[in-house]
Amino acid sequence: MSTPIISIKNLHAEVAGHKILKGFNLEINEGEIHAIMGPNGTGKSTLASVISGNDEYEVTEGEVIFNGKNILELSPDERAAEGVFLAFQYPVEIPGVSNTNFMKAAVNNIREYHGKDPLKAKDFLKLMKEKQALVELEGRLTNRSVNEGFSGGEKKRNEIFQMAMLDPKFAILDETDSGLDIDALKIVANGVNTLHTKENSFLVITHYQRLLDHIIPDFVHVMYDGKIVRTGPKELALELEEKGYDWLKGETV
Amino acid sequence: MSVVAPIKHSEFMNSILNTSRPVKGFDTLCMEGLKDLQITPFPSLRGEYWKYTRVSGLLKKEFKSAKAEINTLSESTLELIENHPRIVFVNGYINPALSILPTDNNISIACLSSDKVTENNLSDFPTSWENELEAFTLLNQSSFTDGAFIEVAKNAKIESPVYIIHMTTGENVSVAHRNYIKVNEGAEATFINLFEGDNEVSFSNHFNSILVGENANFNWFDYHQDGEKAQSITTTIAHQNANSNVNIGAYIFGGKMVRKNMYVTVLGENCETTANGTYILNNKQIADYRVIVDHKAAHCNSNQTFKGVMSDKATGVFNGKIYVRKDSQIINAFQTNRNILLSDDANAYSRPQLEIYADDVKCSHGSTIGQLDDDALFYMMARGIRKTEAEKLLVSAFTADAVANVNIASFKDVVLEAVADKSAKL
Repeated sequence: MSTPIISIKNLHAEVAGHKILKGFNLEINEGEIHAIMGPNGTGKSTLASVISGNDEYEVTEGEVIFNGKNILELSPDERAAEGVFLAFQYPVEIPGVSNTNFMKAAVNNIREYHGKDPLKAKDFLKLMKEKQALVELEGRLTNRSVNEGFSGGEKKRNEIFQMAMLDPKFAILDETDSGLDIDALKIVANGVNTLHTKENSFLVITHYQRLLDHIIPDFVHVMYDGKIVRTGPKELALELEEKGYDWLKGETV
Repeated sequence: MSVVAPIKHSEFMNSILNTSRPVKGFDTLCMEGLKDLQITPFPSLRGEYWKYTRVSGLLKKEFKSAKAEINTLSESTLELIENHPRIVFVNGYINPALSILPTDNNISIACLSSDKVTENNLSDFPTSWENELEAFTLLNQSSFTDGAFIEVAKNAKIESPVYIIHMTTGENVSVAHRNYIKVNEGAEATFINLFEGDNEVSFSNHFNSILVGENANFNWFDYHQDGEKAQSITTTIAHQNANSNVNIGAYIFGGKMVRKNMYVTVLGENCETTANGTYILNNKQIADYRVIVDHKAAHCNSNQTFKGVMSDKATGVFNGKIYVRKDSQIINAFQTNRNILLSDDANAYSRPQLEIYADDVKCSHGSTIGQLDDDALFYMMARGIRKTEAEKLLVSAFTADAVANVNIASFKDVVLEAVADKSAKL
């Protein structure tokens, strides 16, 4: 029997008094890839933010059980250390902080959280090198500030690189495909597929079927007005591509 | 014999003047200082240059000049200064046992208290900026107890930095010394001032007068790790001659109140001037900079970069001015002051000012007061970086360009580490 890695129950969340998530339910088992699609403004990115702990959003009801723990009580860094990863839709530029120092802090803070010693400098650099190769960013990160002056494609590949470095149990890809050309899309998808094992799970938020040609989901969910209105196999994505979302909007009530 | 202060002065002034041992050979300077002090009001918030830092509290206390003996420097200081030459002042008096003079014959150092130097040797040095009367500068002039006269020989390149240690120890001590530095034509030298002391209440009031010759290269850094009740004022006036490079910086982490007056007058053409500062403050700390770069000659560049981070009820003040005098054409002068406030009760006052009388110049000035970037903080935390660690990285990144001018790698590391250490306490 498969074990759920994350279980989201009746999640309600709002930002500045606007109710966005309205009773969201989802369970993802170890090793599964789920995709969420849906029109703009239905709460997909809010869901990603709430799971990763962005305090701009207020959870008013419900729970998120990750690996047996209610992670809504944890700070974002603790959630990351527990194994939650969010690949940002808009990766943040941090001038003056080098990718190396940024990743070193991340890797070692997480190790410390688990009572492990920091990685030796040599091992850390080796890991950096190995994971950069995965997304074809060899040598392009080391001395640059985090995301500063990166092209859109480089930023998204950097997200996947960071994911590879941190080796999370559960990763959310929030529109990682937006703004990518087809080559970059393949590099990103290839990175995800390489990292995907029987133990870790992915939640892929996307508008387009094309990403799902490369990252094959076990389930596709349609989100509308703050909750899931339809769940199906990967073929559902094709149907959505063809018909749009309007035919599902009636199913909310 | 002690100097008798005019009745007019407060007990604060009298106490300092009466307990300070006057330095032999500087009687005229001292008397002139006293005379001017009589007509100079004590700074108040009503004035232009002490608008944000209240010093009237000093008047309620009696500080006394007091010599003190210490046997060793702290371990961290020794580690910092490595094997470099050092001049150690304790409470404003030279400590010969702890000082190690440079072996290089191209740099000569004499104490003002020795009979090698009198005011007659120092008549070329500025004692004020544009004859402006400043109470604390005049108080130093009338009450300094020692200091150094340092001269770097023509065309000499002094590789090793010279450390000047300003140590304060004991309760309610008043500390004042006065340094004269002459970097002759074509010479190159770096001086690093370390300010430190115990956690007793103290009042320091230092003065540095600097002459930089043509084609000379002069670096001067102040590093403040003063005790938590130390109140420290330093006035540094430099005159810069043609084709020279003056690079000064003041990095403030310690002290209760630290005031830096940094005045550079550019007298010759083709000069480069850099004045930088970083201040990372918590509790009720105050750092207050008054910075003047006065362009009196054409074809020069100057840059001021000051970055501050304040938490709790700390206050940072930047009062900067660039003067470009008539006929000082083709000047590039820039001035930036940026601040980050980490709490609701922290304060930043920023006044970057330009006063330009020439018409062919490129000048800019700007200031910002803001918070740490929340998006960056969340992004870092979402990668597992603890909040304190993330803040530390962001503060270090924010202040980096204000420290970039430090030309001594080992000292630069110390300042960067101090930025990281202090930001972890915010």
